[in-house]
Amino acid sequence: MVNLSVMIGSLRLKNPVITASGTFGYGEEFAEYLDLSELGAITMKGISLEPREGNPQPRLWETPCGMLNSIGLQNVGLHRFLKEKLHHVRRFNAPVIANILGNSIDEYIELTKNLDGEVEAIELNISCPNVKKGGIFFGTDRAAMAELVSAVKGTLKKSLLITKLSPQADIKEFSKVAEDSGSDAISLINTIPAMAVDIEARRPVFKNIIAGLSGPAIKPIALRMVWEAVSTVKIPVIGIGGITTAEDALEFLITGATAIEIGTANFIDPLASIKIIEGIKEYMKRRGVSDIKEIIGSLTCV
Amino acid sequence: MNPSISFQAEIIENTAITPDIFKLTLIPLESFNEPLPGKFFMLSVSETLDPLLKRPFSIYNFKDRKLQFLYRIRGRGTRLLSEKTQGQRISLAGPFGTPYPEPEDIHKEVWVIAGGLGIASLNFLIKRLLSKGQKLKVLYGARTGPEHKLLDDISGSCELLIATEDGTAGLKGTVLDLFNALSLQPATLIYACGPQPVLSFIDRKAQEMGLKAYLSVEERMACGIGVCLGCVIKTKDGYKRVCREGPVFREGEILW
Repeated sequence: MVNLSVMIGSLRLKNPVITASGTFGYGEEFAEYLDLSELGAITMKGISLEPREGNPQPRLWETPCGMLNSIGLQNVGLHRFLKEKLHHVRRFNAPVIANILGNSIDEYIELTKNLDGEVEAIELNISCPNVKKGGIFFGTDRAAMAELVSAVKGTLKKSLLITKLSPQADIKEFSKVAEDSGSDAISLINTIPAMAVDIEARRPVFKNIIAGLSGPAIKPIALRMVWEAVSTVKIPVIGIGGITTAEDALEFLITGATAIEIGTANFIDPLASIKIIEGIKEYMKRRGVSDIKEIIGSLTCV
Repeated sequence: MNPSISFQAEIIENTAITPDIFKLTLIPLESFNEPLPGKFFMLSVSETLDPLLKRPFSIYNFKDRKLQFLYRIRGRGTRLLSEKTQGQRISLAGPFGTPYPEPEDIHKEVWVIAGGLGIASLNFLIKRLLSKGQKLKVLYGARTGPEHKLLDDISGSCELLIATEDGTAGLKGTVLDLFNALSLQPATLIYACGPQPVLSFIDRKAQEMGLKAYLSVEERMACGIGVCLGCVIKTKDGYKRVCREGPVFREGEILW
């Protein structure tokens, strides 16, 4: 038996594989296809106070080894999430992480008050490139982020606080801001702002012009940013960005990520997260490693 | 063992029916959930990471455990798919989506309206309905004569009306010209799949005449299972997912 369990602050995960926000819904669809209890944790689709309709079509564009999305945070809103969605995902033996998004500190606080204790952790979404106001502002302004993280941390009594960093920010600087302001962990990266052009129409593919790039194409960038984060802060770092195979996951873990999130890979193969957990186990057996903690941060640079 | 939702299949046949339309026949290598008319599978066109996403394809036929799909070469993904040969393996996921509901009365005539490659989704439905003894009229419009080979042989078992844009077979015109030339009886139920102008026209007509219609739509997808929210379509109840609540929608539902 190999031990895959990791600690994110005071929260124990049975393995380091978490599904990423916006790629797993509220768990309902995937529950038909896999046992959610096998996952390290499940991150909910971003939740705002009020329901959001999201952006008009087109919302997707495939790129080499990646994809652009402009979903615009379509979600059912806090009320329906608590009333209809949460109890479903609660039936499984996996910690639930609520990804939250607001236009103001007050909105984040309101969301936090309602979700504290209902979920194991709150992931602050301050890095979505697909909405016009809020979100990303907090992720790219040092003072604003410090104020937001401190305010949310001050509100929380039970749940853990994870701050999801934007790849647009200087990772060393902003991971430190998150840590100093009270984050229990940080997760990175969100999608990278990017664009595509329709050459016949000579117009941007997306109405918002800029969309978010995800998938294997961004993995080396995400890995570099995770490296910068783990070299800077002491709190756990959760690696996200193009992780598609167990080998990808292991790169992040060896670099120092305590856990990883699976995003776009969930689209390519609904069983990707489960296959990655199995692949990590096989690697450990093959290498004679009994505890995953021996792998995390084992990168040798000299 | 439980049926798998994500599995591999072997290619039995991948042949051109017209210069740009292919028929793909697969034999799954694992047990899978029963495919129903109107549902779709996500097929990988490459076993590498580029192109990254699987593509949605309607079930064209399902017989003797063999899955059949029909596709037109439209871009890099479908071109790569067309280059695959017999004996090669392919990854797929599904079946996904909400199927065409069955008619309530086999004696009341139902109309199946296929515009172009809409036949890729309706062929399976036609066969199912005929095997149950359903009274049926098929309206099928294609670009040119040879494309009528896309509809499996159903001659004699139902009324088939065809049109081609170039007049090489049947009426010269579109499936809508066939539709307009007929009188709809109040009890007629319609199944339709095809380009958006065909579907929106049928939708409007069905509403005007108080008919029930099931319309199958198409949209770009990433996941096919309802989580990416990329394939939404605007309906009177807000955005709905083509992959989950659809691809089959009722008349009056979609805001075209």
